[in-house]
Amino acid sequence: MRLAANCMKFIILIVSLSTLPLHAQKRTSIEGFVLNSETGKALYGCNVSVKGTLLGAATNTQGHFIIEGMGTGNYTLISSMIGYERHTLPITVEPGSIQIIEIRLTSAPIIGPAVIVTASKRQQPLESTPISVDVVRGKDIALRNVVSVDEVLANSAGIGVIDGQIDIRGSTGFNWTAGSRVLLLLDGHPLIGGDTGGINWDAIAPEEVEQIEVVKGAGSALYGSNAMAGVINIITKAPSTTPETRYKLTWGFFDKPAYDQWAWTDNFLMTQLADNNLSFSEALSTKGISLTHSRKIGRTGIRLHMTQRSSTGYQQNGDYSRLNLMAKSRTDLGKGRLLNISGGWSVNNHGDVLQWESLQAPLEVPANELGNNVRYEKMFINADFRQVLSETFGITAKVNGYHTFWENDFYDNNDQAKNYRLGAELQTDRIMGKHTLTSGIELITAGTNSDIYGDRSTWDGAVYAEDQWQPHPSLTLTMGARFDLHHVDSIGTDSQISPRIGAVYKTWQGGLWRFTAGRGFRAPSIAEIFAQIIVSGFKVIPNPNLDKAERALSLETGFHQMAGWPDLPLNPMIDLDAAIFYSRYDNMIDVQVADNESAIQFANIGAARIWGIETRLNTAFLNRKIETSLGYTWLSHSRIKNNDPLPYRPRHRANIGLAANWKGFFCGVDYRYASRAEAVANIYPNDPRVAMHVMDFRAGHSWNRYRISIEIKNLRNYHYTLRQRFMEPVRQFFITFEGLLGANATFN
Amino acid sequence: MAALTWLCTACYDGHGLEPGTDNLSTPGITGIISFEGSWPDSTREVRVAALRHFPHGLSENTELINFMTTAFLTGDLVFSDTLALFRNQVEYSLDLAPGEYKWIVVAWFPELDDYLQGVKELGAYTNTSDETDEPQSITVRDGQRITGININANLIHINRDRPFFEWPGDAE
Repeated sequence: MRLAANCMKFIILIVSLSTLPLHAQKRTSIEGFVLNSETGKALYGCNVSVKGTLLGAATNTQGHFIIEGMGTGNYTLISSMIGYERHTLPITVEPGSIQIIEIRLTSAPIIGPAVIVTASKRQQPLESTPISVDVVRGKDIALRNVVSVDEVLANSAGIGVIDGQIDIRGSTGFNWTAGSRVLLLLDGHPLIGGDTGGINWDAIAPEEVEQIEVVKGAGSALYGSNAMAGVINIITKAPSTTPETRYKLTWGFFDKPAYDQWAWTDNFLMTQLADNNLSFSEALSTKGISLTHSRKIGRTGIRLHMTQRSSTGYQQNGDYSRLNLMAKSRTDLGKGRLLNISGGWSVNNHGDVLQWESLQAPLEVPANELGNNVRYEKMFINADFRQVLSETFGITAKVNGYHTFWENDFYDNNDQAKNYRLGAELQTDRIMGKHTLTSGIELITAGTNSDIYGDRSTWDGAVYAEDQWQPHPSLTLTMGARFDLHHVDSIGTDSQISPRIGAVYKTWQGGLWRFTAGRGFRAPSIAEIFAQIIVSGFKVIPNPNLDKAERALSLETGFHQMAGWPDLPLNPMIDLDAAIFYSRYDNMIDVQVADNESAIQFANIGAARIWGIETRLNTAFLNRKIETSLGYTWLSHSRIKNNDPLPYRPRHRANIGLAANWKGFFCGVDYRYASRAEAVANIYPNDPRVAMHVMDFRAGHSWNRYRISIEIKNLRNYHYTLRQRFMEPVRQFFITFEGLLGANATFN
Repeated sequence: MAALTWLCTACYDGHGLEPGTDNLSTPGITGIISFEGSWPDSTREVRVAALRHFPHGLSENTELINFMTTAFLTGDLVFSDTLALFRNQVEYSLDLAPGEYKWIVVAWFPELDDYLQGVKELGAYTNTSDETDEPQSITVRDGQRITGININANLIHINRDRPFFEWPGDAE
């Protein structure tokens, strides 16, 4: 405790130092355009920053940028964007001068992102990040019929998704959606349920996602609880500068299962066709419509989005009806001040499938569970204000609120819960010579009022600081820590210190070596401590002794290489990443059978060890007309006490992607493999399961303001489970039509 | 090439799970019994019973007991093995001949010499589409082991005079 107090004093000192008053400076600004050097087209989304300062801007759809708040003197502008060489430009800013700069970027063997924002809570080049980061690009989502954002994450190396629960490198496995060892952020704001601490993907409309950053490894040094195994930051699309409206219509249907005896209804479309009894209204199908409008009014850019989706599902109780509303505004207040406000509301009425009836009827549920239904509402509102107070000092203030409400309509319970999570954070970023210091303070309160949890609340307080030091142009060192206090009513208060160190060394052209070591933690959620419920015969009882946070020590070292050979035939480019990682978990929280063997409960089950290797190779040919991706993760996992494997963790996981585009035509194949999990929670006496082999196919054409595409998910109609007695989706066919309205709007 | 090889390999891997690969080819039902209330010391045993017919037209306790005895002898009533006692939750498994079973009940037997006379229904597998809590019938197909036949059983019902709850009036 004494160590904790000293650490806290140290962190508070650093936070205080970084907020010292600043010298007023005479400010000016520069502006310009960023263009493609080969085509002369404006480049949208290019990051232009001023070296050695916090100043920067992103280009709009016209390729225009403006950077305010500069003093006079000599500077270097750095322009970076996915797929282009980094461009540096020395400039001299004189008093009263107005400079309009034209920057031309040339293609480069950079397949991944140029700039990320999640690893250090601020914008930074990928090559200065000491930890593994995967990025899902907006176009990877746009070209697929993505119903839920987690679907696209399943195509990333080392990431598994079970029932919406994210497993990064074997960290989570599956714990029945109570608690997540991965923190979900929406534009930098936590989006974690106040009751379970879990992730609700259907609060986010996939159409609004610009980029997803996945930081693998302990992130608690900056983000605290839940980030013990990683952070996923979903960055939504920015409002456009010119009026733009986008619409999208989707319709799809489910194929029959591979075995006739599993076809539980005659309303599979293929059955209807075979019986000459086609009825689109009764066929098992999915339909969706979305509408987005964006424009700028004065200094404020706004973006409004609506999605309505409904589906009969492919199995009994598999139906759902969802409505998503999202809004976002970005106001440039001038003088380096930026205000972002976003909000959303969603409602999902869906059937509930806890378990199949039997393997003879795996798409049916037990008769008494037929009709089980859940209504789930989510509402969030986030706001952040950023101000660059000087070239080397900036502050960010954030507030966020997340409210969820769910209500069961089950045969054996009508439980409901109202949950909230409120947070506030003040962050400062300061550049001091070769040091960049990020520090902040965060306060969180969460609570629930529920039949099954009671009336409960928690609060958290934290301070953090991280310094990035560049003693040599090829070497970047990172060191930081976060101190957290976590209080649960009627249980008590716990404190955690989560330090992290890291190093990045640039080896040669396009190559780097990285190392990071950090501690992470996750406080037990309200659901894990207090849940008391009987669902379909499963009795869950509370565990008031669950008062210890689970902790992890994580190590990782890796190598990253980018290279391109533009003069060779096919213009090959590669982006290679390889990592070895190790984590030791203490006081791990998981489901266990209670002492009297009459119920299950969440408990600290002891220590566990997870280590493995991960490789990722992205290649591109013919100026990215053809792209491939290959990822493979090997995992070793066991409880330290008895060497038993941890549940729901496949030993091998691989993904392959092939994509091609030419003159507006595009097609692609995704393949995902996970070996059969060696262990699952010991809930059922037996559990049939196989390895996962899933292949998706897509093709389409974009022309001007229109795009049409088809997609076949689970092309091989492969039948598998990821959790016990729940059959994953059968083959599905989709057709999607999209259109744009707006002066400069185009898909090409 | 490695990727293509992998893809081709995957194409020859069949359809994954198949009917019957769970080795549950013996027809029957399985599920979990959740008990509420206090276990009396007078408990002799508890079993799950599956009946093909309701005791239509019978009301006297003696008639009901006789009905059970007859049904058991004719195969219209099947009992599970005795369940573990004094627990809040227990899993059961019951082999059944293919066919329809109108009534799946949890039966409690007292520690008496003539314990059949004291049998009490603690709960039944119930209908979920309405709020009447009426018994839900099941149909077991050949080679089908139906899982998830979960029943809530309340030990307070051992104090009832009648051995069974009401059953649907239109039942056979």
